[in-house]
Amino acid sequence: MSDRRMEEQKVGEIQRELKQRESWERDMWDLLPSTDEAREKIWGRSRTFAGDVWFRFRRKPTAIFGLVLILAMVLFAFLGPFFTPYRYSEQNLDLVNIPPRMRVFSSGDSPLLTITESLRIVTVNQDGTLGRQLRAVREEEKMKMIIFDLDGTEVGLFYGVRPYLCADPETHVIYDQKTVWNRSFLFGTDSLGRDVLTRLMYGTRVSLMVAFIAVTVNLVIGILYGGISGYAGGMVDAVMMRIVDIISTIPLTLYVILIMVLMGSGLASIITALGTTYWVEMARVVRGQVLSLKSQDFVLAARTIGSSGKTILLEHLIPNAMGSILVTVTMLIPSAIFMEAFLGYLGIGLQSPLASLGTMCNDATENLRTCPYQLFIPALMIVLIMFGFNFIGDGLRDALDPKLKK
Amino acid sequence: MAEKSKQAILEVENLTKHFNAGRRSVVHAVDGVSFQIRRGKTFGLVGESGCGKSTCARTIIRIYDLTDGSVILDGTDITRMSQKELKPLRRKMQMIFQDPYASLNARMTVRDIIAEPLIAHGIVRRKQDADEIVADMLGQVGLTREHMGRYAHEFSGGQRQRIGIARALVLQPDLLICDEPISALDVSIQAQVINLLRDFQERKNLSYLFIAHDLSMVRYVSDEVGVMYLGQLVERSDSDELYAHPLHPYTRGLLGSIPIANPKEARLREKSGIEGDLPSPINPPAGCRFHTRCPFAKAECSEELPLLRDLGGGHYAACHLAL
Repeated sequence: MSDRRMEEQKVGEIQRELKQRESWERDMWDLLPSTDEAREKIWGRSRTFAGDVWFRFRRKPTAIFGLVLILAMVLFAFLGPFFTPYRYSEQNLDLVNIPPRMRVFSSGDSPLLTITESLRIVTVNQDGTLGRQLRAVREEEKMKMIIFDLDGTEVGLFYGVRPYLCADPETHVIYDQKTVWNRSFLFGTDSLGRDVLTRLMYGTRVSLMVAFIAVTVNLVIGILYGGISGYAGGMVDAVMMRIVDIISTIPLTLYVILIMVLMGSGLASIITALGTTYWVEMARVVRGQVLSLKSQDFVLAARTIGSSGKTILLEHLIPNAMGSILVTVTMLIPSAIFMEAFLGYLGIGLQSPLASLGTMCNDATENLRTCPYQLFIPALMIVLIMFGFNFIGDGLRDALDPKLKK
Repeated sequence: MAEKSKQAILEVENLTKHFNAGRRSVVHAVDGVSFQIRRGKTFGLVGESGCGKSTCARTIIRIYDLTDGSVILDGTDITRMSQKELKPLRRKMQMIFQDPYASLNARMTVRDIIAEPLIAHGIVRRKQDADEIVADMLGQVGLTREHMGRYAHEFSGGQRQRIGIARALVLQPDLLICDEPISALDVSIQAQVINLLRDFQERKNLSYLFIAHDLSMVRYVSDEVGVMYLGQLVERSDSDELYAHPLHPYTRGLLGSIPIANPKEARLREKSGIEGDLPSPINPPAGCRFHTRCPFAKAECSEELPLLRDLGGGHYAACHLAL
């Protein structure tokens, strides 16, 4: 009974569907009602240029990765210092060169102990934070040992081998070893006992600031200079471009050194050097774009309308060159950052105790063999920043190129 | 002559434009072209690609500076005016361009595009004040207020060309230079744009300089037609007269190249006698510039340059053989 009913139901359903499909197919070939109004209507959603670019930009995973990376860097550099208990210039000579991953020793019931590069023993709490420093009692030169006092028991520091060991001065039994993460100084400390993490934040801040200055200078001077040169053409163009040629032939390092003789070393001279020379690339790019754009019909139209040169340059030429401008900017940022780090590494950038990624690398080279993390961490940061900006630049270039429109 | 001035909105006399092309070579783009456009009438300029039609238009509207000759707009000689002096006169003379894709700035909304001339001439101070005028102008070209916030790339070719027309007409000019306004459009859209232009001509007594290479369309829109060949005007006449009795062999050849829909009629027609390519304008042929391709060329054609002469009833032709 129920089977039959189900079957009937099924057949009914199929018949209904067939009917529907038939009518749908018939309707499909009918003309839709059409009016003049409907023909003029634009059915697509209105998308501004910026919206269009963002739409294509966000579909590229590497570009989004770069953007997130840079945003994270900005937060790290500018909000980070509020969350660390240290200052970038705060020295603690008792705790120098402590790595992020510490070798600790323990003799069963005694607390964890770690040895610093300056031959001291520091207790390490169970959660990985550093405790107090042990007091040295005496030195046994024959045994190559320094004896420390740990709540009445004696602990020996054997400095006869590298890395140093903790041992019982009586029995010469080496304590059990293991490694724990440093919770007091997440990235360790440098050769003056300063927190590497805090210095890294300030160093990143300097790098981003340099990037910001480079962008501003590029956008303002580079665009206007290149735009005027390209738009004016002729003699004006020739003279302006020769000036650019001259500026770009002076090596930046030489230039910075000369400026530092005048202004003293520091961020100000680096910014001055970047500010006065770093727009030449942009000026060249903008000039090229303007040269090719200014013979296009819409610019001729603006001229026949009677628009002024200023209007044509600012509202027609430069907005249309914006694609290459943005790409050039994002590609120039990493090179500006790298230049600052390079100058810092050479020792002609920021001076201690100020931190920049370059000076941190420079400081780290002194004890590269014992504490490679001091070089590795700021170098990794430079790499990440440059990666981030390059990814963004790559994504922007694809997003801004209408020929790649999908 | 004074009466003629009153009548003509544009007088072009011996218009010449040469471009320097490298060392000691000169492109003779336009060489001694003269014509008048009467108020409210259309002057059609035809010729094959590269004959100097567009250069002619751009020189008249002073995108290029003249090499020689004079341009008199509504009784004012604008030949030697600086761009600054010219600016108020630009309201009288506007231009629409061939390529509706390239002639609109892709970074501007329709509102900004149409408001630009208003701001340039101080008719409105800010873009926001122009909204009413822009909306009205859009209505006149068959678009609506809703289109104002859109960007040019969102429109079809025909719609873009109408935006270009709106931009040119928002200043209420007396003369509109149309540089092949329809050749980049679909055939179905061409008629739409042409009818729009004719409609404006009737309503506002506009004059047109209409440039095209499509002879059938020029016949439809023009009162007078000039035929250009290699930078020179070779024939000039009333539109109907020119199509009925072409005098210059080049004009005949051009007319012979208009496609005819009916194959029976097409078979009866004499074949177009023009073969080969346009000679280089850097070294134009001596004598009659057309003699290298002319099927009737004689010895004198390659020696002496024929001048444009009246062959009766305002029909001018530059040919030794035309009677």
